[in-house]
Amino acid sequence: MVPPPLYFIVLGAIVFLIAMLGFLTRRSLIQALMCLELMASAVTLTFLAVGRTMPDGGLEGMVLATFLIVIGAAEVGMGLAIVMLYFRRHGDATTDDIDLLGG
Amino acid sequence: MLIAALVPGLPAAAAVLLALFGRRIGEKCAWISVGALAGSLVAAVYLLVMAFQGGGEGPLVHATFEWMRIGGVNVDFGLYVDGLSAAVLAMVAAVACMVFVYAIGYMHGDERFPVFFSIFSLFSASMLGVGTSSSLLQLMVFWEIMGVCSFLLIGYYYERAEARKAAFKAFITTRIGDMGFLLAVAVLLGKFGTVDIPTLMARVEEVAPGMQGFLWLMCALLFIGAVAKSAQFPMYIWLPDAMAGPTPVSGLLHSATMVAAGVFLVLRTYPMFEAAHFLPMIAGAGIFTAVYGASLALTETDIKRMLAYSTMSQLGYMMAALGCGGYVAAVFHLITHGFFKSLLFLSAGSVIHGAKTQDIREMQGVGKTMPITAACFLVGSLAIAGIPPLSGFFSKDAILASMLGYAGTAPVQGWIILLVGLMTAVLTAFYMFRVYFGVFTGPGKKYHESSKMMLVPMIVLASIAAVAGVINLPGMGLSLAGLLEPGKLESAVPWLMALSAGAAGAGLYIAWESTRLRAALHGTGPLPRNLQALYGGIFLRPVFAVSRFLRELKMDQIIMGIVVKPVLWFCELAAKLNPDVLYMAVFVGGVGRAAEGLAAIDTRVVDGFVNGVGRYGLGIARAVGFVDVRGVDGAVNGVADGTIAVGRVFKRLQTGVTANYALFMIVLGVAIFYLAWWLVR
Repeated sequence: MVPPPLYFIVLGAIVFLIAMLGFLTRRSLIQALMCLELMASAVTLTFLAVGRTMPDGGLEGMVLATFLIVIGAAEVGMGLAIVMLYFRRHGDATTDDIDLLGG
Repeated sequence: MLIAALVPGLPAAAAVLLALFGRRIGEKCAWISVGALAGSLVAAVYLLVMAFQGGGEGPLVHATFEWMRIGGVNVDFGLYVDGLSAAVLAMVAAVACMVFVYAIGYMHGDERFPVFFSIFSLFSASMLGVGTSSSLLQLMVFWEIMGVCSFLLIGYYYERAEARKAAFKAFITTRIGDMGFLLAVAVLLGKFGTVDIPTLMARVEEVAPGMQGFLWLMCALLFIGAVAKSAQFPMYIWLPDAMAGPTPVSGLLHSATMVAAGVFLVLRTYPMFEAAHFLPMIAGAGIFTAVYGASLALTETDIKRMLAYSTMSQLGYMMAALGCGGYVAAVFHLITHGFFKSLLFLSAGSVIHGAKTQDIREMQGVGKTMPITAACFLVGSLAIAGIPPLSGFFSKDAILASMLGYAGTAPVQGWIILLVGLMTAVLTAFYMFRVYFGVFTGPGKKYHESSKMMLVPMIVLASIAAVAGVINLPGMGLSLAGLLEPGKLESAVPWLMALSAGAAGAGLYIAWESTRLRAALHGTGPLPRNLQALYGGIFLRPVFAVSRFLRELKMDQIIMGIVVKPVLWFCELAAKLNPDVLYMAVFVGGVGRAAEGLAAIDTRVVDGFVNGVGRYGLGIARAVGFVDVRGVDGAVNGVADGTIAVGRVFKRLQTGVTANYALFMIVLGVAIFYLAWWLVR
């Protein structure tokens, strides 16, 4: 009943692309952060799918996925804190206003 | 099997559709939800008919697929429908369908109308999913989806502080219960290697004699989850506050979904509770909640909160029935309660709509100008009070009969439970009719009757609530008892039926007298005879005094302190459940403090070093500068001009727009990847 791993790899790639395009086009910091997380999730899915093709039946993929989830949680914690501090200082949180690096 | 999948699938699909296109379709989109639920209802009724034809032997649908495989442990998901789920599904779909039609009228003109219906559809889909789940883990997934939806719906008016607070309270309180549920599922999975409900129940019954203690613990953990979801003492604290949501939400949350899920969990895993001899605990907790909730409802002045306490009390009744071995009685009451409680909430919503207040004391004589609403509320009150021949009478009688049966095996506890149960029946009739007489009868202001959109579902629910008792008439072949416990003969106990009806009548009579007494005290009615005053003084005062004492005890705050606070204690903010503060303290504060520390290191250590180097460099520079200015400058200026020219060109790359940098990163990353690939190949 379970579809072959290739389907999940393709799904992961599609989700990754969607998230990437979202990251490039969205103006809100929160949305950008969400896109980042979605990219991480796509990678997690890919790990799981690739893990399925390994001889150990996917345990390695699951371990990597678990790590990714933990990293993702930590990342969200940091990222949201930064967004919040930025919001307090500037009154909004769009990527347009963050252009101090601009030449 | 496909039909069973349609039951939760259709509303879930409607939720997705509405989330995607709802804004474009506008308010008409609600009909997609209603249509989806009507489809679910048809499917559920079909399943119920099939179950009746099967005579309750074996499951109707049981299909599983592999969900995940971790090492040697398989977790399946799938569909499992038997008589119990078919009956509950049909009730949930019917109530949800009516509440949705009502909500179209109630939410008319709301800005976020499609969003509301999208979440609301998902809410009912999750309850239907709980009903069709084949494994405990899958049940838990739907259970959690329901938790999230209840959070979103209770906090739907998120502009209001109390709605936000109530949503958090409900979510966190039920999460504490979910912890118990999760632990139980995890341990059971580890111990037995499966969480498929029928398999698990069979295994549990097999090993029960040797594992009493272990199973008892598992049951306790599962029961904590059910207690929190079904708002039993002491985890009921979220239920009255959940009134902050729109009335249709309360109507569904209090009758067919959410609170019903806790009872359903116990029903589903009932063999385990039986095998572990955990039932007396459930009976005790249930009957206490029943009488406690009824006492609180007695002096509540907010009509929706009054109904919330009543829900708590009725669910306590169901739990008590389960604890007394009244499996069929609990299912029966779950179903009839679903109908009449949603009816009561919808009627209350209609009154609130017309009177623009939720305070019972400010509504007077509503019945004159809102006759249909008043009639519907009356039917609901009669049903919940247990006046024959309305549905509540039969289900309440079944529960009392199960308590009587329990008294046969455990005389002391059994008779206490039966007595408290009868007392609760009196109190129930009392508080309902106190509100009915106070709000609907007598002279009053002019109100506007609600729109047809709201009245039609109320009328439909009222007719079902009136006659739903027929599904389990004693002595009939085609009954709920025959569906759930085939082969078991249930005999009616005439004297208990008379007693139950008498209790309801007594409550009604006391309410009538107390209303007259109050009217007389306010100078709007005839002076009571001395007998009545005496009667009021002897019987009513103590009852009201107890109710008021319970209110002033502020039990919910105490429970907040004992149960909820420790969970949040590490964040130093319990009672005010303010996520902002929590967040600031844990993350933002932490990051800020780390930044301050780094800044201090920067000024003291790094700057000092840099300054020292700077001073040293300055000395050398003065010496070198002398040479430099003369000879090297010419060359350097030439180079500098060149650099500036190059910089002007490349400066354009530094747009400062984050997305551009990301794009460069991605393009470069892909390029490097290809280069590496090409080299390796």
